[in-house]
Amino acid sequence: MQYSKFNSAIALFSRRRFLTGFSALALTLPFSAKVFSVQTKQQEWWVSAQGRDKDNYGLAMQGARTSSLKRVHSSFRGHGVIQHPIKPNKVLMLARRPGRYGVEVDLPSAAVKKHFTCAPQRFLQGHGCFSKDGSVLYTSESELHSGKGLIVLRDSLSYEVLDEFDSHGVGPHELKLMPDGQTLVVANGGLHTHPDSGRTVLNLATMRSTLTYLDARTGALLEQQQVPEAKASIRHLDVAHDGTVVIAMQLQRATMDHSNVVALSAVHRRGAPIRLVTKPDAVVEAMNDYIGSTAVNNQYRVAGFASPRGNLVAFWHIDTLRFLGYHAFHDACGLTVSADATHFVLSNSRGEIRQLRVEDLEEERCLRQQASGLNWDNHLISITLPEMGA
Amino acid sequence: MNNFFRSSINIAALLLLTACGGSRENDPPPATEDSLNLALSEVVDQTIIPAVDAFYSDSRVFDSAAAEFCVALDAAGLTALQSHWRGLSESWFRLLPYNFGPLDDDLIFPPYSFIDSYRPRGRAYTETVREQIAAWVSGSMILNTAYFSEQPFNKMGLLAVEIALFETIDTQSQSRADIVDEFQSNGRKCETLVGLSKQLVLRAQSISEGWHIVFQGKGASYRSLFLGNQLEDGSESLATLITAVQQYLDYLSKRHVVSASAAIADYAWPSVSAAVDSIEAMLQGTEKSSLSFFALMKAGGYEASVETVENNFKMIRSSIVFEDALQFEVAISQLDGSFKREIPNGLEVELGVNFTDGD
Repeated sequence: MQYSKFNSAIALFSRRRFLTGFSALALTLPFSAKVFSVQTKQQEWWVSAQGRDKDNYGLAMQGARTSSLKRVHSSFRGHGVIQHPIKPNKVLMLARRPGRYGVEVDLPSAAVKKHFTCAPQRFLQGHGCFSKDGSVLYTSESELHSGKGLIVLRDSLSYEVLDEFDSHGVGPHELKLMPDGQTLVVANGGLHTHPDSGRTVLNLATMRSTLTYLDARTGALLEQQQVPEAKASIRHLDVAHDGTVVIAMQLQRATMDHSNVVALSAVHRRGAPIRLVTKPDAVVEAMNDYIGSTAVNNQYRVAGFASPRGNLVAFWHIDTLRFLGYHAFHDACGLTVSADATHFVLSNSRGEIRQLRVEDLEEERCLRQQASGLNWDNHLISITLPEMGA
Repeated sequence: MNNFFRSSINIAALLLLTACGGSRENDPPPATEDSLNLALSEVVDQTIIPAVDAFYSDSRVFDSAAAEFCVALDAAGLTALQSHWRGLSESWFRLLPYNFGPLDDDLIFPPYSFIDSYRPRGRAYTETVREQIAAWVSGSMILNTAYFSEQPFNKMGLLAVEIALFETIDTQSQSRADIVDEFQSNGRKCETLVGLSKQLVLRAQSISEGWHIVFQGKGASYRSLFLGNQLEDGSESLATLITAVQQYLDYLSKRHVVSASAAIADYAWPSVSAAVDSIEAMLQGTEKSSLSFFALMKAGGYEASVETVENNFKMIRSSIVFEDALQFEVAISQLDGSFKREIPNGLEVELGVNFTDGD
């Protein structure tokens, strides 16, 4: 069992409080969700961090079937966005690494309702996820000087820190809860950065990236996997309903001593080796050593991988690893699955949104949207809310 | 709303400053959308499309010369044909910086790779081609157009023609007499040469038709789509151009092109020099240009950036004169950096948030 660096008394208190929250909210959540869904007509929104500079950094939401657009300003560049499971009309946007802030945004009013700052000598890596009952927020963070990776646990209502775990790696980035509700899967990117030197990587020679499974309650290390290429940084992931994890990587090519094409995506199931997606070579190469996000469609068992540096999104079957196709889209990085699971939804830095039918990966051009003046950032999510005004 | 007002004020202030500055009759217009479009159209019509046309034309000239050589099979014919290959190599290097649209319209089988197998990942397929040419010449397969159209990219293109034309199969002798002897002693080597040459012509023709007539069955030429800013992937045409040239410079510096490309013909330096000429013309215009990107950058107050880029070119030229590969790659890297910073900033073009600074 792995424990945090906190003293045992605090750790026990935190864990007890955490477990209490688990059981209390497990009782209330289904009822709340049911009331929420039957009383109102639903509307789907695409939500993402956006902005090019401090004056317009923030979060925006675009109506999936309407021209409605809402914007919320923040003082920092956001990265990952997650829907609050207990307050589903709210999302949490986390600062891009190396950032210090998270904001809770109320979508109907397009207003920041709460915010939190990470502890001194820590910085956020840009992603988080909630526990199964919604009571705990997990964020990927790093110690400022050592670069040690941490998973920090916060109360999902107050955002007070409850506990923290070792991520068992450097530079933890995206993390998700596995379908068992008890396991976290963490992409330890392996890259050590320090805010004083911006985003410069300080440990290129020794970097070690891992896909790590942790017990969500105790932080115990359950399993850890690596890919053969030491300079491949596992940074983003998604989890299928059956627990298959798809991972997206970025290559630190400048430090490599060869120019071979290297797999940038892979699939993993607990207890088995990582299966690299290596074919077709031309597609992997066209992604220019960089995938910025990934999403799984469970119905078709298809994973999409967005490469803004390759200006494309490519798709593989997650069981057979068969290449299914690609869509050329300038600076595309935002990628999610529509609420009805029929479409992959793609966004880019020019404020454009496109939708591809999952069944044949053809774009429905009539569904194209462009939000003038917006620059969608790396990650896009789909959220369904009670219908509201523009 | 505050941002909107701030932007409005900035625009108003800019207009006021422009008005107060006192323009002169011969000053280039500032970088407005119209002036950028004009400069871009001149780049397309005076640099890119002439490069497309020249490569197609030179491929046909080479093909005719190959047919003539295969009739006469003498040293003079070989000398002429080798000279045409060098011209074709230069034409290709003038065009390759613009590796988008008809050159790169298929992710799996990009047309450019069938012309220049080194470009995709900097891998020299010299030995593969040598073995294949030996197999073609000694084999019994019918060496016709249909056969060569089915061959993979790494056995085709300028490299394959170079190997067929500049050395013998057995000893890799570069003596013209030995090469002519080999052609005379086995007619299948000429069939190989002609087959490879015809594929080059077909590739060049396809690229030309894409730029001039119709691109990917979309009912319009790529020129029309490009200048109409109607690219399928949603990218801005100017961003596509700048990104393509930047990626080409990245390739030139990182893949050691001057030591690996056109090595048997010993023609790498003139070839990369042609590429640099083409890129410089794209930025500073040709004698026919009424407006260039450099002029727009200067008019927008980016004189220092233009000077930086001009100094990059001077350093590149110097390295080419002295055939200094190390200095060449350093200088090309610096120009590569200018295509990421000074040039997009000076033309106020957005290459993309994630493109430049991803996570």
